[in-house]
Amino acid sequence: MKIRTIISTAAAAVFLLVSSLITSAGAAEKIAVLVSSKDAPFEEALKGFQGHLDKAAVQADYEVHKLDGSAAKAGQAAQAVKKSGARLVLTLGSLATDAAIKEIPDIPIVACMVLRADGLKKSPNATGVGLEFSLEVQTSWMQVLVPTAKTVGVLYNPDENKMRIEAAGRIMQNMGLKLVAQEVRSSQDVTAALEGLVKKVDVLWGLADTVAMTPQTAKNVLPFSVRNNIPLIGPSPTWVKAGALYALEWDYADVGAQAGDMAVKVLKGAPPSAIPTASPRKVYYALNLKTAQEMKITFSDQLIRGARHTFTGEK
Amino acid sequence: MRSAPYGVLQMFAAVLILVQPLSAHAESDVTVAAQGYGEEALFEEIPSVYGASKYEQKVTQAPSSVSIITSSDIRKYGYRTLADVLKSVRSFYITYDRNYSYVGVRGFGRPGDYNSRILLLIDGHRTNDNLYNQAFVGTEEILDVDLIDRVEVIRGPGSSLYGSNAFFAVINVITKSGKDLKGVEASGSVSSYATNQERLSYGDKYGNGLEAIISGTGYKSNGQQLTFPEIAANGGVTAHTDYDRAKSFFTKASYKDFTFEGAYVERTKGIPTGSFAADFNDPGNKTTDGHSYLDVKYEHSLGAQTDIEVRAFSDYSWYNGDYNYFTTGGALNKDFGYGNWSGGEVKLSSRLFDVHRIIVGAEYTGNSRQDQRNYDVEPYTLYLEDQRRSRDWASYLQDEITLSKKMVLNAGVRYDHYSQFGGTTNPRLAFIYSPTEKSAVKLLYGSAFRIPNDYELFYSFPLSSVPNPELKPEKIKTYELVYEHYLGEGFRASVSGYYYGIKDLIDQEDTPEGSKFENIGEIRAKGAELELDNKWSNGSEGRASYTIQRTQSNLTGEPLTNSPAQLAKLNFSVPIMGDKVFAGFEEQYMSKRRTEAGNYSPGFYLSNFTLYTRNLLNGLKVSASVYNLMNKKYNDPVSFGDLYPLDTVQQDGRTYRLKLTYAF
Repeated sequence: MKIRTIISTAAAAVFLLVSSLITSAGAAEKIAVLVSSKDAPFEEALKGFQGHLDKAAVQADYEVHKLDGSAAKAGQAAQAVKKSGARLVLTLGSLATDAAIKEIPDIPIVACMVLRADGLKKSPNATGVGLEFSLEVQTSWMQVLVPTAKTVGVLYNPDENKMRIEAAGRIMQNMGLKLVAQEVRSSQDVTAALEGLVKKVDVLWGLADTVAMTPQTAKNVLPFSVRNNIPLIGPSPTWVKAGALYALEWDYADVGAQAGDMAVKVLKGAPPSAIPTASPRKVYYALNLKTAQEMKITFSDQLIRGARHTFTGEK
Repeated sequence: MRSAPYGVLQMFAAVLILVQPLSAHAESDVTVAAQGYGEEALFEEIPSVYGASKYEQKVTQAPSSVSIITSSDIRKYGYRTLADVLKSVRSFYITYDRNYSYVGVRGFGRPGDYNSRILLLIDGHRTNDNLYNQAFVGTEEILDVDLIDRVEVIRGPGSSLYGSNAFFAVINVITKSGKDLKGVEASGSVSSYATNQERLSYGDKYGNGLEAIISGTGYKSNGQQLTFPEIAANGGVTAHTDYDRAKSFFTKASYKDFTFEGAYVERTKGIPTGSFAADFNDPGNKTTDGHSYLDVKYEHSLGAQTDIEVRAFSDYSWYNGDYNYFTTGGALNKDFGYGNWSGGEVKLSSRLFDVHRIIVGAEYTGNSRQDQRNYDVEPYTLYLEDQRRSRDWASYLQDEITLSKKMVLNAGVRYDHYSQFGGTTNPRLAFIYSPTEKSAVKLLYGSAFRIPNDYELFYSFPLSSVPNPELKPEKIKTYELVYEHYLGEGFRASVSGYYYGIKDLIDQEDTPEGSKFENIGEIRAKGAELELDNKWSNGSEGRASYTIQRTQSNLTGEPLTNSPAQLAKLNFSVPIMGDKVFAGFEEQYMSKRRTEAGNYSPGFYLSNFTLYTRNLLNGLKVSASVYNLMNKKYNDPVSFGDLYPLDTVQQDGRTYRLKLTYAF
C-alpha cells in the first residue's frame, strides 16, 4: 500500500511538471500588423520582421490587416487592434503608422517602411525604422558614384526640409562639397528653380520633398537633368529607371529585421521611447547606364557589378 | 488700323464655351494631390525620360506659341543651317535668292526684306546688327548648328520683353556647354557641288568648376552652274559664281556666376544672279558679311527666390559688296556697311507672395559706328559716305500672376527710347487657362515694333536710292488663341488661330530721284494652324503641321508677295537598330506664291531623308542625307527691283551630304 501511494504521487508530480512545461512553451505573443500597401517591398519587409522574430525564438501570433492604401480601412483596422489585446503593433508604411499613432495610444508601436522615422519621436509609444538614409551616408555615396562633383544642387520646400538642408550643407562642407539650394514653394516654381541651378552645379540631389521632388515634378526635373547634362541623384530606384543617374536603395527584408530587433526589445519590456529611431543599416544602389553613357560618366566594372539594379534606359 | 475682326472675338468666345464642358469633365479626372510625401511616392512608377512620354511642359506654360527643336532633331534630320531648322517649324518658310536666306513667318516674307522682323538671340545675346537689323540664318550665320543645344521658336510679338525686331517671332538659340563634349570632337562633311565643312571643337568641365567650350568651323562650296532664261547675256548661263565660303569661331566659358561668350563669322558668297544690274556671270560679284561679338554675363541668386542678371556686350559687324559693271562701261563698285555697338542689361527676377513672378529690367545700347559707304574703284567716285552714332535705352516689366492652380495671367510692358525716333511703349497680355494638367488654352495679345534700319533711313545712290530720315517705326498688333493638349503618353496636339495688323509698314516708293522708303504699308492677316506630335514607345517620333493663312495689303486688298496660303510639314524619325541607327524623313509643302512682277511661283513638295548612326563604333557618328529627294524643280520669288529681270530664282535640286563626327 505504501509503495503504491509513493508511485502514484511521483507520477502525478511528474505529470504536473511536464504539463506546466508544455503550457509555458506554447504562450505566443500577439502582434497586430497593419500593412499600408500590397506592393512587394512591404511584403518583403514583413517577412524580414517575422524571420527575425523566429531567429530570436519569439513565438508570435500575427493578426495582419491589409489596408490597400485605404484610409477608411486603416481607421477600422486600428479600432480592431485596439480591442484585440495585442502586445505590440507593427506598422508598415505611413498610412498604417498614422492610423496606429492616432488610434492606439496604449499599445507599443514599431513602424517601418515610412519615409522618415524622426516624426515618431513625438509619440511616447512609438519607434521605428525610416527609409531615408542619413545625410552622411547619402553624401558619402555621392563621392563614390560621382567623384568629380564638387557642387551639389538641390530643390526643397523650406516648410518641410529647411533644417535638413542646413544640416546637409554643414555635412557636405565638411566633406569638401558645396551645396546650392533653391527654394520651391509650389510645383510651378520648379522650372524656374532648376534654371537657377544651370551652370552652378555638377550634380542634382533628389532630396525627398513634397513639393520639389515628386512623380509629378519628375516631368520637369528629369528632362532638365538630361538636357543640361547634370546628373540627377534620384530619391528612389524608380527615378533611376526613369533616367536619374543613380539612387540608393534598400534591403526591405533587412529593414523589416531592423524593426524586428526593436520589437524584440519592446516585448522584453523596453518602452518604445527608450529605443532610438533608426535609418536603414544596409545600403544598396541602382544605376542607369544609359544616362551615364549620355552624360559621358564612366562607372568602374566594380561599381557596376556592385549595383543592386542597373537600368539601360529602355522602356 | 482696323481693330480685330468681330469674327476673331467670336472665335475666342466659342473656344471658351467649348472648353467649359471639357474642364467640368476634367475636374472629375483630376487626381487629388497627395497630402504628404509618404513612402508611396518612392515606389510610384515614373515614365522614362527616354520613352514615349512628352515631357516638355515648358511649351504648355509659355505665354506664347512655342516650338522647340533639339540637337537630336538637328542630327536626325540632317539640318545644315538654322534656315533648315526654321523650314521645318510650323508657320515658317525660307526664301533663298542665292545670296541670303530670308525668313517668312505667318505669311509675311517680302522678297529682299532683311530678316529684321524676327529677333535672333544666341544665349540671350541679340545678333541682329545695327545697320540692317538683319538676322543671319543661312551659311552666313555665326553659329555652327552642331553647337546648338536647342532652338526655341517663340511666335508672336515679343517687343514687350525684347524691343525692336521681335515683330513676328523671337528665335532663341541655346548653345552647348563644355560638359556636353567632355573632350575633343572633330567633324567633316562632303556634299554636292564640291561642298565641304570641317569643325574642330573642344569642351569640358573641370574640377574647379570652370566649364569651357571652343570651336572653329570652315565651310566651302563651289556652288553650281545655273541657267536663268530671263537673262540674255551668255545665254543665261552662269558658272563659278555660286560659290560660298565661311569660317566661324565660337567660345564660351563659365566659372561660378560668370559666363563669357565670344563668336565670329565671316562669309563670302558669289552672286550668280547679277543683282543690282551688275555684270552677269562675273565671279567678281560677291558679298562678304561678318559679325563678331563678346558677351559677359553675371547671374546670381540673391536668395528669397530673387535672381539678378547683369550683361555687358560688344558687337562688330561688317558688310562688303563687290559689284562689277564693266560690260556696261562702268567700274567695280564697292558697297560697305560697318557697325559697332555695345551696351549692357540688368535684369531682376523675383517670386513675390507665392503668386507673382516678376521680371524687371533695363538696357542700354550705344551705337558707336553705323557707317555706310559706296564708291567706284576706278575711276574713283564716291557715292555715299554716311557715318552715324546713336543710342537707345529701354526698361521693361513683366509679371506672371498665378490667379489659381489653373489660371495664369502674364502681363508685360516695355518702353524703348531711341535717339533717332523717340519713345515707344509695347504691351503684351497672355491669359493661360489649364483645365487639366494636360491641356492649356492661351489667349494672347501683344504689340511690337521694328525701327527703320540705317539702310532704309540713310542709304542713297544717285538716281537709285533716296534717303528718308523721317521714317517711323513699324507697328504690329497680334491677337491669338491657342489650344494645346496632351493625349495619352506622348501625343500632343495644338490648334491656333491668329490675326495681326501692321501699320506704317516701310515700303519702297518710286520717286523721280529714285526709290525711297516710306511708311506707306498696311497689312492685315489671319490664319489657323494645327500641329500634332508624338513619341512612340519604340523610339519613333514624328510631328506634322498645317497652316492656312491669308495676308493682304489693306490698301489694295491684294495678297502679299511671297506669301503662301498654305504650308504643311511632316517630320518622322524611326530607330532602325536600337538607339544606334535612325532614319529621318521630312516632307514639306508650300502653296503657290505671288511674285513682285505679278506672276505666281508654283507650289511644291519637298522631301528630305537622313540616315544617322551613333556609337556603332565608340565615339563615331555618321550621317548620310539626301535633300530634295525627288529632285523637285522649284523657284523662290525674289526682289524684282534688286534682281531684275529675275522674278524668281531656281533652288537646288537633289543634293547629298555625308558627314562624320568623332569624339575623342
